[in-house]
Amino acid sequence: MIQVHDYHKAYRDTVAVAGLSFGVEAGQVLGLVGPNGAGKTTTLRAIAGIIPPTRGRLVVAGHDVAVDPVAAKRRFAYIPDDPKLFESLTVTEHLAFVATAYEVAEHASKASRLLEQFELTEKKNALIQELSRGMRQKVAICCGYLHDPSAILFDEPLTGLDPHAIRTLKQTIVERARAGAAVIISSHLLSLVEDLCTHLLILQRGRALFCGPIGQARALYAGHQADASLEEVFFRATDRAAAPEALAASGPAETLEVRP
Amino acid sequence: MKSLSLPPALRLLLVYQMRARLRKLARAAKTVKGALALCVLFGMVLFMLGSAVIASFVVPRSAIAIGPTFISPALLAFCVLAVITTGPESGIFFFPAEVDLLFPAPFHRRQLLLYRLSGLGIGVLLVSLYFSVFLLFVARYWFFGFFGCLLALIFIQLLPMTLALVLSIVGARAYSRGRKLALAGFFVLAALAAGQAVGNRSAGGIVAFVAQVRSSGVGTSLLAPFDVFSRTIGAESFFPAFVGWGTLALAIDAVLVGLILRLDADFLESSVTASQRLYARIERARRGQLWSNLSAPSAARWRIPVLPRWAGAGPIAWRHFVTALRGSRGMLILVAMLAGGMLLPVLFLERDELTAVAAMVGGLAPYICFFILPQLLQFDFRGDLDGMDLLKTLPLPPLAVAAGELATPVVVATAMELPLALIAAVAWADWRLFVAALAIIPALNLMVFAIENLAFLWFPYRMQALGGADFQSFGRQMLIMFVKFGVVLFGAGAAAAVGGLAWWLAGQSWTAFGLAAWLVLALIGLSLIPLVALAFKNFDPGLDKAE
Repeated sequence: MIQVHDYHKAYRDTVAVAGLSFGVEAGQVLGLVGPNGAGKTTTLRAIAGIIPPTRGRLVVAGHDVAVDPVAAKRRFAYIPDDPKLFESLTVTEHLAFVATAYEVAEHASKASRLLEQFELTEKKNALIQELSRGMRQKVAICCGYLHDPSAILFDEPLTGLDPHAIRTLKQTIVERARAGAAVIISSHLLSLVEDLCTHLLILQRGRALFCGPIGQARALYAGHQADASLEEVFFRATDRAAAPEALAASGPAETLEVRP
Repeated sequence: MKSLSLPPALRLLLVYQMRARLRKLARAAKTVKGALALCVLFGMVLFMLGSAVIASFVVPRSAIAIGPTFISPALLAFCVLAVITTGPESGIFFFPAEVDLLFPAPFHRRQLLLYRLSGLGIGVLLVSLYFSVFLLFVARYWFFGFFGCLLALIFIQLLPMTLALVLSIVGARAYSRGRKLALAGFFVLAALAAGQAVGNRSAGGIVAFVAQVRSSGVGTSLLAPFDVFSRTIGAESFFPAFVGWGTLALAIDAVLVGLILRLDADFLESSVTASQRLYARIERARRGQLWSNLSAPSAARWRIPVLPRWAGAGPIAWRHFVTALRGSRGMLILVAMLAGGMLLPVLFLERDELTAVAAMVGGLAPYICFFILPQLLQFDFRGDLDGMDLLKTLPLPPLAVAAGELATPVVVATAMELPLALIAAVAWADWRLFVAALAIIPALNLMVFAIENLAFLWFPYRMQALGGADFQSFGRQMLIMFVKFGVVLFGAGAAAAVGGLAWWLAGQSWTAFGLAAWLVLALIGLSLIPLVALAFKNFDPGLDKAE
């Protein structure tokens, strides 16, 4: 559903992402993890068609994001970190706008269900500027879900959410993946990734340290410890990569590609 | 071509946004302070429009030659500025919500451009309607002024967009080379035109000088594309003048729109960067740090020794002093721009005009001191809106916090105004003027900034982030300005009365007058500090920040 081939992104002399390749199939949930500045958001924004890649190919649902961005964008939803919404528009107006943009049939009933699911029904006529950070996040998620996307890109989705909303969001992610959506979750919350994700992509300094099923990551980085936490896996992976001998061995723009 | 039509969703969004602005106005009118602010604003606008309409009947059109003379050079200057300021970091501005919601949505780039252009068009239409009333002076018919103004403003909006797209396509290096060549050519031609005008200069001051530049061979060629707009406004007949010039102006804008839509550059990334940068600037301006947008803050090596504690006022004031010092470069640039804008015409003025301008600058001085500077120097509670929680948690008495918050703007404003007093003292060869200013200016500034902070703490208001004019904020600013003038007038009146009494009692002693007047002003200013402290004590960040 989501295919990234040899993705490079450079800003003048700074290489944000170097030669990244991975894929997420329908029904898979990929956890995108890495230290600050690893290139996670840059990767998500490139898949979302907001920033063009310096090199490489990004494909969503068979549509190249650079060649046919509109067709690709129809198929996915991108929920950014701290989503900005139109301050003076109401929640309902946001959903009506998104429904028109994505040509969603019978959007009123869908919107109503989503608002109920995320406990926003009472706020449907409230202006965005009147909502708390968490409620805005919920509105952004509802907007993202409204057109039943085939691929969903989350950037730190839990920020500001209350426990109820966190549980609801987790449930919906699992449900949508089961229904055939490909999901990418970029987060520093390794417990969230551990709970939800079937696959893992560890990025560091714009390079992939690992990409594959979570079990494979455990086998690779935690030896035979089947119950090793993701946190342990993450630290071992990043510490190993940060070691001078590992960096020297990795060479320029080399990418470890592990296909599921 | 489907991508060249505005999709229903973007049309809907434009309608929602217009409706949202009306709703915001209606909501504001429901609260007492909001209604008051709007009443003041609309009263002022009606007064200005009414004055313009009446004056257009009273003042003969032939007496107002300045309008058409300056429109084309102003447009040319804007054009040059746009070329200079367009750089690798330029881009077409989209609001943060548009970046987050529209960029990942299924719209073509051209559709997004069309949406941006439509939004700009609606804004420009409203602004042109307003300004067209003031063009009644120079336009034979209202519609001529409106149409010419509309097309000129559209040109102003389209040019930077076109340049940003051209830059995206040709690349920063090629653009920079082309820009250097174009600017060098322009400055050579401008120097030639100015040289010709100086050579032919006759009496008549700045208007005559600009007219000479316009009529010189080089000046005529340089200004020809921009004359189209001013000639549309000042057309003497519907046909052929207005129709001819109007069609040409329309064609210029149409070419720019066509270019923007046809270039089809991948502007999304540069727009994201440019929008983030502009948004950050707007946020800084909202926090009262407009000056910080003109220059990066100076390095941390610019330091001030920590002030003594002074019951807690010291550290509060010190923090603002450090911010002021590190932003001083930006502040100086802003003040230089203001002063330059006011003084530049003086270079070209005749003697009688100079007297008129001196009177105008003198008249503007209170406006600058009591309105511009207080807006500029928000090193007080107004600049601390986001830090109110922290201020509230400090183990300091409110009076100390209030005194500390007021210290920096009073000192900085005084430091900016005293050189003017020194110039006046030298010009009039009377040192007592400077001594009087040295005593009175800090007291007056204390009054002014105390009122600003009182108004802010009683009726906190955060300028809206983006999107549309913030009418409520404008109205509120005007209201505060009236209150400030009222209090300053009251203070000055009381000081003059007490000073007069002292003058009479002391046997017509001007020293007694000055001392008594200063004492009254200082007492009024100092008496406002406990009021500010009380307002701070009662300030509820939880309630007021969300507005």
